Amino acid sequence: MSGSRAQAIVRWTARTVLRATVVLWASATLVFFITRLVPGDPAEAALGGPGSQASEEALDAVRQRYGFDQPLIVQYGIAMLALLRLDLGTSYALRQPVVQILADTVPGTATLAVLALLLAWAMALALTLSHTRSSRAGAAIGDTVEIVASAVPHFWLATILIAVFSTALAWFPPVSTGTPAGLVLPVVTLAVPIAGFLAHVMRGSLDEALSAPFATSAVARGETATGLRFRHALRHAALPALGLSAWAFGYLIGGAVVVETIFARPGLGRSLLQAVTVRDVPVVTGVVLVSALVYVILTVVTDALTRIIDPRIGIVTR
Amino acid sequence: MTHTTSPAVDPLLAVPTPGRRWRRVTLGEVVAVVFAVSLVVASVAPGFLAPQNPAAVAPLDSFQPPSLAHPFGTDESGRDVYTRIVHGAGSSLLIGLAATGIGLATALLLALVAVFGGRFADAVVGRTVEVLFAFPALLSALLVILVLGPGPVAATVAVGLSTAPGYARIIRTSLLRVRASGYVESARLLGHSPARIVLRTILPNALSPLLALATLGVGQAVVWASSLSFLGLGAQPPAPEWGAMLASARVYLTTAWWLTVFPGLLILATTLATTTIGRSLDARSAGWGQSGPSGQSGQSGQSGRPS
Amino acid sequence: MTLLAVEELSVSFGAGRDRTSVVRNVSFSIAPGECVAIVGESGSGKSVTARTILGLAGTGSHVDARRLELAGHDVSRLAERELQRLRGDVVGLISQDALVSLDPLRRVGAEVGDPLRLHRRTSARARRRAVVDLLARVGVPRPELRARQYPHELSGGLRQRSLIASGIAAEPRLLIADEPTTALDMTVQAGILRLLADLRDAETGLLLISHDLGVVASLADRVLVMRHGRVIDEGPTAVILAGGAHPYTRELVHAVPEGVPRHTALLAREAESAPVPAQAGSSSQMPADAGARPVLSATGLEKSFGRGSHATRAVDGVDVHVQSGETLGVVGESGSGKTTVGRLLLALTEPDAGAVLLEGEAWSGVPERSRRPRRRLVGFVSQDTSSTVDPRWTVEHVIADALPGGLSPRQRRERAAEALAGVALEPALLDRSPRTLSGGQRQRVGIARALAAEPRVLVLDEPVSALDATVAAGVLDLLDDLQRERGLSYVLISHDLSVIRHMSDRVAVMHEGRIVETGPTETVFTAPEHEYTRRLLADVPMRPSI
Repeated sequence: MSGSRAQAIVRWTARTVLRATVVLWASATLVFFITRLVPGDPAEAALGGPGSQASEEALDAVRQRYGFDQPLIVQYGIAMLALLRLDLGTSYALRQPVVQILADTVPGTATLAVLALLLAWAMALALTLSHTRSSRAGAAIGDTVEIVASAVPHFWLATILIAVFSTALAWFPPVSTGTPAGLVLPVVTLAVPIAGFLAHVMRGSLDEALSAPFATSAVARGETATGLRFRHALRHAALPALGLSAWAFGYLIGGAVVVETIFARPGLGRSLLQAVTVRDVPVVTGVVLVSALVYVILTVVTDALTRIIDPRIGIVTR
Repeated sequence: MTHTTSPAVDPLLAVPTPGRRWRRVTLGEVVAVVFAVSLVVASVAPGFLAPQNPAAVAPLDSFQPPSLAHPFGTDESGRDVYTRIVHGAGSSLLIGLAATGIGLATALLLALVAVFGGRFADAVVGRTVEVLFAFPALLSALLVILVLGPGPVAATVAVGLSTAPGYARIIRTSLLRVRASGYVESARLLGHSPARIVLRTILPNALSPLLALATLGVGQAVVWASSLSFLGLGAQPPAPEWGAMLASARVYLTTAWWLTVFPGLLILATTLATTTIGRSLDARSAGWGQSGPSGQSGQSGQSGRPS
Repeated sequence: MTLLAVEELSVSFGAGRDRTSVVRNVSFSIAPGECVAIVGESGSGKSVTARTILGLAGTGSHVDARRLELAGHDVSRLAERELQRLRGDVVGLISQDALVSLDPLRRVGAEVGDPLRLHRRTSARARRRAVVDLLARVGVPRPELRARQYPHELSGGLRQRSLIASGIAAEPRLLIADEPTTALDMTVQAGILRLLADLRDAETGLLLISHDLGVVASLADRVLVMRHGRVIDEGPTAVILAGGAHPYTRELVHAVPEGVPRHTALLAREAESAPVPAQAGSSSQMPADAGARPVLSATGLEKSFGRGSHATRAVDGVDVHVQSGETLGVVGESGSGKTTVGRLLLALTEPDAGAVLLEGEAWSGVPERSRRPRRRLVGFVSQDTSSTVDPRWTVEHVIADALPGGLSPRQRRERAAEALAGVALEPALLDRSPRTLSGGQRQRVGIARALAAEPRVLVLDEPVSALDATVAAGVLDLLDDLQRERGLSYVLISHDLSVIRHMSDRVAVMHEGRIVETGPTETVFTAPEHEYTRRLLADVPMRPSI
């Protein structure tokens, strides 16, 4: 019995790793071909754009090094092989290896994103538990809070938070310093919209679970209202929200672009924005691949968690 | 001689009939519709709501806080913020509509190919969409801008294309669900031709959630496009576009809060209105259709992927 | 000594003008070891009555009673916290739908042990032992394993038994069983009923809520008949099942096709107290020409689902022949393959082996293109018509879709109205959405649509299973009339033996993908040859003949 379960887990893991690898490879391929669509001579771009007045020899050297003089398919092969060695090339603008830039910026953004996701879950849970099964007016208020939270643009929320908590009240710095206080406003900015989405989904499934027949039978056994929520319904509510979390993380990376720019915080997002502005192709490629990797890993993790919480899906099926 | 039975009236079951659903219109929905209509008026005939010239510079009147003469205050050149917001509605809304149109059209094409193009096409499209999902939406928009260069058109295309995978997934699921439904089976059993079944049964039913989806999408696209403008990648500052107005207002945040608050509130109000209208359209169509309201709105929340 | 005393109980929902009365002036009592049954159709208020005893009438409910006393506690005056102490301890509930009444995310053992956790101070270990004992007591095999499993890993019957185990865990003095055997197969149902009878015999009071008179007959001492919130008839079980005092009771009793001969209207029998003698019995209407070509026939049908080692054989060597004007009943339990046979006959799916012939010509194994013009000859009525009609369409549109082409809009409307009249529905329903109709009306619309295509054969898959008894009886009478008027052939697929027996000329009994026995209906029912058929017939809840 347990042997077949172990086998099933091994099979699931193998399949998941394979699938993740395929998605990553496809992402890299897609990004490679999209970046080839960027107009202009890539060799010139590598040397600082048309304004750099690079000599013909220097251009040839760059072409040789990156294989820009080779057919597209060969360039693709070179790029993929380099990727396997974790070589993402050199930034056109910063003259640094892209891997180095990523290593410098990922921790800051990761801290921001993880904290924001945790805060969003906490806010969503609080919002959900305070508004389920309340009066019609209570439900309407909860609904409005969720919609407003999920609709508010990051850049505006950040500006307003700075205006209120930095300029007027001077509680937190407007520019993200290294201190924990500097993290508060960026994390809140990122968390609020996610909390709105999560709460909306959670509240829907919590209400559904509370009116399900199994809830009636639990109450008929003498279960209390609190017991019903924590022992039964909350697990059902967490499932779809968990499924949303991988997506939410991607959304956070997008938000990080805005938030890191506004709070002048070094990170993946700000590097990306600068790179897009000056068409620094290697850096853009690097950032996109890192976020694809994170997305894939998180999808696998949330999938595994869902299977653990929900015995109906189980590790054996699919 | 057949016996006609009286319909079993169950007072508990009789409540949520579709007919009753139609009658109930909430206050929020009314406000949302009124706001949406005034937005459209502002886009088509901005002079009707704000007769002044949005570009009229009055250096002496710069940085006036909100007053009767200038309800939303004035900016660094003394231009009336209210007038500029009204005149900016057109370009902001146009970008939102165009982006949603691009996103939905691309998605529809992908979904139709996937569902009706055979197993191989479905696999290719399915995998492609799955890969695109690995790119956070703002990142794929930035990739498009990397290729096209910054500007309002590029921003519109970028927002549109980056929403397409989410829409494609929803439309594909909807098409598959309808194709496997009992009523499509009945049409087959009546000997109807495949073309007739696709045109008269599958498409109308599968695409009915599109209206709700598009409404939700427009608001999110407006937020998105204004984010890109704010980052300097979309419409550029002199233009009275909302994101661009916010971008140029950032410098004056400490001295002139109204420059930031009002355009932002308008963006927020726009998404709130479209979300409210979109959700109620969704709930209403779900009352008739097979799709449960929860499943549908859960998906639409996920699809829009605003920035 | 009474366990439960209910006097003048009224329950209503809403307030002011929207107030609807659901239960009106209901009185009854239950003594220990007694079983009282409430029968009635959907909307009669029987379930609300039961739930009110638990203090679970629902949100927005208004309960009013002169007396509502449970084991000495006045339920109507207790606070929620005190009610929680009674629920599961003094009174247990076995709810309607075992498939969804256990929390799918919790282990069966946890669900069964909950009343002990809530009402008894026992250690976790003692509780685990008690759960295993309870599961064993309700006849769950391998209780240690089952307690560790999740509900979805258990069969429907085992889930229902586990639900009963959780209902009786704290040994309540009153057990409320709300449709405890609905949706269960006949053989499983018999076991559950025996279990409930044992509990009753062990001095537990039992309140049984059911629409099924057979179930009531096998358990109840007294029966209350409810309609529109009122108790309209009550008495000892035998008296009620003999027709009671109220005309509606008689209608309810007569609606059950059990023991009513073929071609005898169910609902027109109100006048007589006994069923019409079998003068219109099977022989007179039977298509006599046995040598005639069958309308629809299938030989050697095989169909498997899934691939490789996971493949299951749903249909395994089935032969069926449907003669013109006759009804072939296909009976079997869930998973027997009867629905797959229906889909093969409808050519909705292709057989792996074997062939289907329609009027002597190939119906399976041919391209859909060649089938399309002949599709109208074979109609289909499913259990749930609402899922088989386009949700955007009105009744008129639904029926017109089945009419031949080339009609003007006006002709289409006239023909649709005629089709409705044919199934005894008002033309006023033409502009309604099928979703706003009652269940019986919807099934009639489904039949009207099927007939609008002027078919020779109708495949009827559980056509009345979702309907209340009297409504179902009306639909069965209609089907019988239509068959005689139009010379239709029916393939009637059902799990309900009484429906099959009443409607069929010949029967095919299916079990595990095979037809284990086939023959003229009366022969199969009175002198079954196969072991499985005998077991199936033995498990039908017995009721005294009327």
